[in-house]
Order: sequence, then structure tokens, then C-alpha cells
Amino acid sequence: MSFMQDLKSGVLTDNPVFMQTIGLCPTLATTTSLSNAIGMGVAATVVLVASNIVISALRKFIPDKVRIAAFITIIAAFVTIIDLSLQAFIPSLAASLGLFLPLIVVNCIILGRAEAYASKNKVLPSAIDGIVMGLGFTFALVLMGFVRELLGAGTIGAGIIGEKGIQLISQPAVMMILPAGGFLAMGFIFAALQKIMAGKEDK
Amino acid sequence: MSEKKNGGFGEIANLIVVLGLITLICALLLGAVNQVTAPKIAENQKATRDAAMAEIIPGAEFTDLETTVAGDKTTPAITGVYEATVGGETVGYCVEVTPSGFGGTLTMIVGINADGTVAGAKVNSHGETPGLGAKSQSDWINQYAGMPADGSLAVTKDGGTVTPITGATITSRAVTLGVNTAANYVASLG
Repeated sequence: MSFMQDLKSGVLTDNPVFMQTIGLCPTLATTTSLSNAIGMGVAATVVLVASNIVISALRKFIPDKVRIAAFITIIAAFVTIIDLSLQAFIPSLAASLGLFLPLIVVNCIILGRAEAYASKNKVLPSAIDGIVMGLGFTFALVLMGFVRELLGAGTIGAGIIGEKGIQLISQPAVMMILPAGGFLAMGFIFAALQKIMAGKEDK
Repeated sequence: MSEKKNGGFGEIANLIVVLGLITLICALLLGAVNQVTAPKIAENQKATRDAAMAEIIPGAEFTDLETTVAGDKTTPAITGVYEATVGGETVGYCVEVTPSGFGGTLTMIVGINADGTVAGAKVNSHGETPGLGAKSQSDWINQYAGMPADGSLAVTKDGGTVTPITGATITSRAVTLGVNTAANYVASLG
């Protein structure tokens, strides 16, 4: 498969969140604003690519019986490096992602890709798999973050375009940035995407 | 995966060596990263605190008194006390307190003037709900400035004068408790 096909598969037809429905916890929890969504997506993608590369390179060296323990150790090391680096260099992002940053360790997309792909394939394809899956995850987060920030806080891009972003709605529905709003946004986005995908297959 | 050694001591030794090596390399890597980032992180925290203190008591110089007070069930812990001086004269204190909010601990700086009023307060980090408790970082907190620093503050629901954040009474109570704790501590300094 070419990179573009991989990309289409990771972002649309085999999107980890919308199609494989894995990694839903961070998707619900960190998408209260566009800037959080992008931060979480990029951080998870970096961890995913790095852990895929290392796990793929070590796949013949790691005994089958302790592979999960070895994978988690490698993933945890990368997550901690990202966590410390963000705290040191982008403290505002680290503060808003809070606990969810260390929790990337248990993001099942990362362990899932290590187990299902990187442990069985060569380094380069594993790196590409990490990139496309990471982009797919980021795409899902950005979509959720955009919708929830717009409806729940009434802004677009707070923390990206200036401190407050662009205020569009003066009386936002605060519920959308609360946990219940996360489920609502996710449900509607799932439904819309399923509809679009189904329409494509019919043709 | 092909396994040459099947069962027995050889296989177990192999598992231990491989896992041990991976863990060792990860630990060394983390140690190296920590060496680089730890001073930077401490610097960032200090910068946030300094900015908050400069906003609460403008134009003053701050000296770290290097005091901490452990908390208990009713009073939150004090993690730092800073004396504010202008031209050598004490104009007040900034106290870093950590009351418990709705979603964990809030780290806040409370400024107390030498004349026994609250100079201001600022929440530096928190785990409150976005849109509700997180408003403790907005202009809402400015109402504390000028209130009496005698440890008697309470939200209107509890018969006091502090207007709580709508829908976030627990956060409002936590911030109020933080201000009271700081006030009581400064009062005890005499």
C-alpha cells in the first residue's frame, strides 16, 4: 500500500476512534477545547510512532511470554519523556492536559498497535503505521474538540488564536464541555460519519 | 516467535535478562531526561508563582521565608510563605496554600496586606471542571481583594459575603478556605 492509502485508512476507513472504537477514554476526556485536542493528539502520536519503531526493532529480541510487560515499559518510558518535556517547555499545555498526559501509557491505541502491528512488521512500515494511526486519532480529537468548544464555550481556538480565541456564541451550552457533552458529541459524530461512509459504499 | 529454549532454567533466565535490559535502558534514559528537564520545571513553577505574587501585591520585593505548615482534615497545607517588602518595610505576605477542590488539590497564592485585608488571590493550578470550577482562574477571584483577613470569610450559601461561582460551590468554598487559612497563618505571625 502507498502512504496515501495508508493515510486514508488510518484517518477514515480504519480510524482508531471512529471505526475501531478504541482509545475512547482520552477522546472523551481531553476534547474540551481545540487546543487540548491538538496537544493530546500530537503527544499521543509522538509516543505511538516512537514506541512502534522501538518495539518493531526489538521484536525478535523480546520473548513472546513477556512481550506485554516489555511493551508497556517502553511505552511508559516514552510517555514520561513527553510528560517531562511538556512540563519543562510548554507548561501551559501540560497544565491543561493534566492527568491525561501520564495516562497515555494506558491508551489502548498505543498498546494495540504495538501488539497488532509493530511486533509483527519491519521498522519502516511500523513507523508509518504509527503516523497514520496517530493522525487518525488526532483527527478524531480535533473534530470532537472543535464541536465541543464551539457549542460548550462558544469559542474557536481558545489558547491557539490569542488567549480567548474567537467568540462566536455568547450563551454557550456549558454541558457540552462537561462529560455528558462528550458522549453527546461523540454519538452525533459517530452517526454522521457512519452515514457518510455508508453512502460512499452504496455508489 | 521461534523459541529455541523450551521451558526450564534457560528460558526463565532469558526472560529475566531481556526484561531487565529493557528496564535498565528505559531507567537510564528517563534519568537523563529528568536531569535536563527538572531545573526547567522548577524554574517554570517559580515563574508562575512570581507572576501571581507580582499581580497580587504589585511593586513589592518577595523573600521566601522557607516555611511550610502541614495540613489536617479541616485546614489545607501551606506550601510556602513569602514576605512582601517595599523599601525594606513589610507591606504584606503571600502564602501558597493547597485546599482540596472538586477535582483534587488547588494550588493558590493568597496575598494578605499588613493592614489586615486580603490583597488578592490567584489559583495557579487546579483540576476543576472546565466551564464551572475552572472559573476560579477568571476575574471571579478578584472579589476577595479588600475583604477582611481574619479567617471569617464564607460563601453566601454559608452565610458569608463571598459570591460563589454558579454551579461550583465546592470550588468556591475551597478557594475561600484557602484565603482563610492564609489569613489565619499571617495573623499568627503577629
